[in-house]
Amino acid sequence: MKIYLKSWFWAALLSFICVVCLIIWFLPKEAGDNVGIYQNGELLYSFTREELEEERSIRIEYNGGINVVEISNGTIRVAEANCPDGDCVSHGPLTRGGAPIVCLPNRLVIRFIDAGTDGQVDAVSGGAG
Amino acid sequence: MRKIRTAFLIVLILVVTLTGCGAEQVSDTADFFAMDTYMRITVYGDGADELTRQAEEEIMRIENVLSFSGDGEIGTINEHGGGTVSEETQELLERALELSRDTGGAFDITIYPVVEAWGFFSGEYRVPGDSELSDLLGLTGWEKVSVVDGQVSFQVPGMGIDLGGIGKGYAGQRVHDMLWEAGISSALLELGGNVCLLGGRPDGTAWRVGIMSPTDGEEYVGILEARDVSIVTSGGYQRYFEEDGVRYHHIIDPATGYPADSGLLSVTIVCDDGARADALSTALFVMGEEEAVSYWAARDDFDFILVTQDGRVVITPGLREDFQISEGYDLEVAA
Repeated sequence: MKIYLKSWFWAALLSFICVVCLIIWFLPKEAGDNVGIYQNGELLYSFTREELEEERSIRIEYNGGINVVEISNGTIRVAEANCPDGDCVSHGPLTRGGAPIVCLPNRLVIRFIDAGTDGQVDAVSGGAG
Repeated sequence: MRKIRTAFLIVLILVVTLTGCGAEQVSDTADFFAMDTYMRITVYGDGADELTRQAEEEIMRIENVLSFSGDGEIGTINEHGGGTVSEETQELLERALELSRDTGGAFDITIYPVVEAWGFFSGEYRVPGDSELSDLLGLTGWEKVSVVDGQVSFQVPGMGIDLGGIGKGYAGQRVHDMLWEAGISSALLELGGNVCLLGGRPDGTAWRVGIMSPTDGEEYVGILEARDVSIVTSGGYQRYFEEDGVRYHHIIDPATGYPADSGLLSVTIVCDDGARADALSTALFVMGEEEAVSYWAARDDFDFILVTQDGRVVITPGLREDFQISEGYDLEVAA
């Protein structure tokens, strides 16, 4: 009788752990909201979602190249740049589903810090090549 | 009793590991600029940090060897109008020339002087005149290049080689193979718009790759589920300039010397050889839909996703199960 009770206790404990693990497993994977500004692969600035609500403008220089990054209302974008192509400015604000903001001449990247993009895709194939 | 407890313990450990309560798999990511683009390499598995560093070094090495300017092998050949190359470069040149032949010259590594005249290398864009272009076209033609025993020579002085249409795909494949040989079974290589997949995701499911919309960089025409292939897209929508209200993009038709105007907005190639995927994405973009479909039908050993100017998305039957189209596009399956 004693053994039965103990087995029952262990079974209950095991079931409980299983349920907890399953709940954790099926919880929506929270995508990181932190955004980073990188120069040549080095993280210069990082912002949480709350920090992106505070309006500010950051001037970033690289070998004579200049990018002006603007943050407001939860968005981040390159407002001005002196690079020849201006791709970083025409990219518009950073969105979770889209590509990172890249300024090739000034070696600048603005992207979400976690590896994934929007949880919808792992990578994007686009026509730069 | 002890047996029961041990059994429970084993089951417990299994449950914890299988449901992911245990430690996450090791991974490492490198972000860097190379080959005139932004790259990101993510490796999963033991030794990821060291292998990611090696992958970055390998790409830098290939960039130096293949760059059309500077003192790398190809740069030196362009400067001196020929010369000797290593075995690796010779093999890649032979493959590139073979792809040029096979695509009827739609992919051509000798288009270099024409692309240079348009300013796509320097960023000082201009529209060359008709006579200038026809003169420059005389300096192009893959059949005027010979590669024998590591010796590269041009039939016409002033010719040059640009491996930009195959180099990134080649580099991705090299890194893929290097990681595979090191025992890695999951890695994601993003080389500009080129995506090279090693295996599937770390959890064993297929990778999901968005195919960028040519008209809106924030959207996809669809999502492709894939593993262990290269996915390379060519389009005229990212590298271009405008003059007098006309848009000129960077994919030059070797037959005319002007940006290809074939009715396609983008071409994505899916195949297990990154270098080939890279070259074919350019070639099929130049060919246009009809010729691209017949080129594929005659070989049937790769897959594509074509986005046409009239808003259709044409895919090969091989992708039917794995490609989810976004709303607003009409899907057609090539036959």
